[in-house]
Amino acid sequence: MASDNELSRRPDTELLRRAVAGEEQAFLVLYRKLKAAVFRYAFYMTNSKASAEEVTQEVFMALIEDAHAYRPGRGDLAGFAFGIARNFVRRIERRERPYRILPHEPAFEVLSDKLISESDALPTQMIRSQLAARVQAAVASLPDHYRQVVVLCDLCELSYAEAASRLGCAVGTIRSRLNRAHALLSEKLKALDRPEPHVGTAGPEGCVI
Amino acid sequence: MTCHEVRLYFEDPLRFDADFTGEAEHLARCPECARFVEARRELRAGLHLLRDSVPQAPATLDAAVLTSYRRQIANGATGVRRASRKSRIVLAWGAAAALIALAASIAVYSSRENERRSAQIAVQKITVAESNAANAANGLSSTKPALSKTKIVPSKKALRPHPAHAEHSASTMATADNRAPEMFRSLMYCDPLSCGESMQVIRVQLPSSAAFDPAATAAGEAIYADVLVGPDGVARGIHVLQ
Repeated sequence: MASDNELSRRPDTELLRRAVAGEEQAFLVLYRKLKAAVFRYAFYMTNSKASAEEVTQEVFMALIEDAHAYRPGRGDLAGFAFGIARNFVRRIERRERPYRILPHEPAFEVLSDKLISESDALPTQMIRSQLAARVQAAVASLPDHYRQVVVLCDLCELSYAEAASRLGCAVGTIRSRLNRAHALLSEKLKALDRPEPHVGTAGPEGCVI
Repeated sequence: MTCHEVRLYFEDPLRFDADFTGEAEHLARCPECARFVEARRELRAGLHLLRDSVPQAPATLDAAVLTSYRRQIANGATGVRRASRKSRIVLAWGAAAALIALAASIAVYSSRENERRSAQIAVQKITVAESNAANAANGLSSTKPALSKTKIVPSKKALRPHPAHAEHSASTMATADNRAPEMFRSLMYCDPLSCGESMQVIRVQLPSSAAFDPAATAAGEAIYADVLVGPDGVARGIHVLQ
């Protein structure tokens, strides 16, 4: 039986073939290679650790079941796994849509204001995580085609060429979508910073103060 | 540096991660650009934070994946099983499509067959009427012709040219021109029997006294005649058979 080091030098296609044949060591090496990227992508796309775990598990099971569908000429195995992950993420999104928290939930706005006003008393780590949560919420509210490029390029740190290969579009499309996504994100973060006007504070001319 | 240059710099995603040390002077005197750059820097910082804050996949996930893999291998649930399931699905869809195609072809065939039959019936009716008339005119009728009621103008389908029915085309064309066969005598209103609508031939039995040539018929013997009746029920022509 081949050692981990020896197996890790093998191409992914061979690892997959061996894993399908029942070689557990090959499967483990393949899993370690692809797990982080799949989990990270699923986590940023679903905003849920549990969903990311579910997607990761499903991706590897589908990878073994649908191994015959993989065509090496059409891209690397990571791209194939990404395609499966994308389908599972969409399935989970459809399933979870009725339970999704609305982006402008009043309770969250109040909590956000409270945390910002008490920022001096909070540890820096909490403020940082608060900023990360705001960015995460802004990313989650992006349209799907913008969210995909932000997650792949900014969060999963793929190159533009890799992202283009994963999404099946041109590098120029990735660049333009990313630029537009950044502009949208800036606007959303700005909107989140802006204090929400309270009802009943209208001025004499009906304008909200 | 101008406002346009600042925007261009940040609109290029390739430069997004680069440190922007641009013109501090411009940012100091242009609050709009300063806000824009600040927003982009905040976004950059937020994305960095988000990137660093991704949780690690728990060890339980590794165990769960490994367990699922072992179960899959033990059950033989690899690509082969999925392939057979897919092929079954494809086969089912193919069978359904074949059934639909078969049903459609049967429907088309039966409708065409009905059309063909109706056309044949129309032509046969005309043929019978014409042959009876011709036989009677030639005195070949040895038996008493049966009473019949035949439409003299065939349907449009029957008028379609067809090699098998070429011999009938002349008569059908004549009727299409609304000219009755020459053996009919005009009765009224309709001279020279060219009324514009379809007519029917009705075979009737008449007393011998009604014959045009009473000497040619025996007393008390009935004679037969074809009467051309218009759509209004009025007789337009008559042709005595005996």
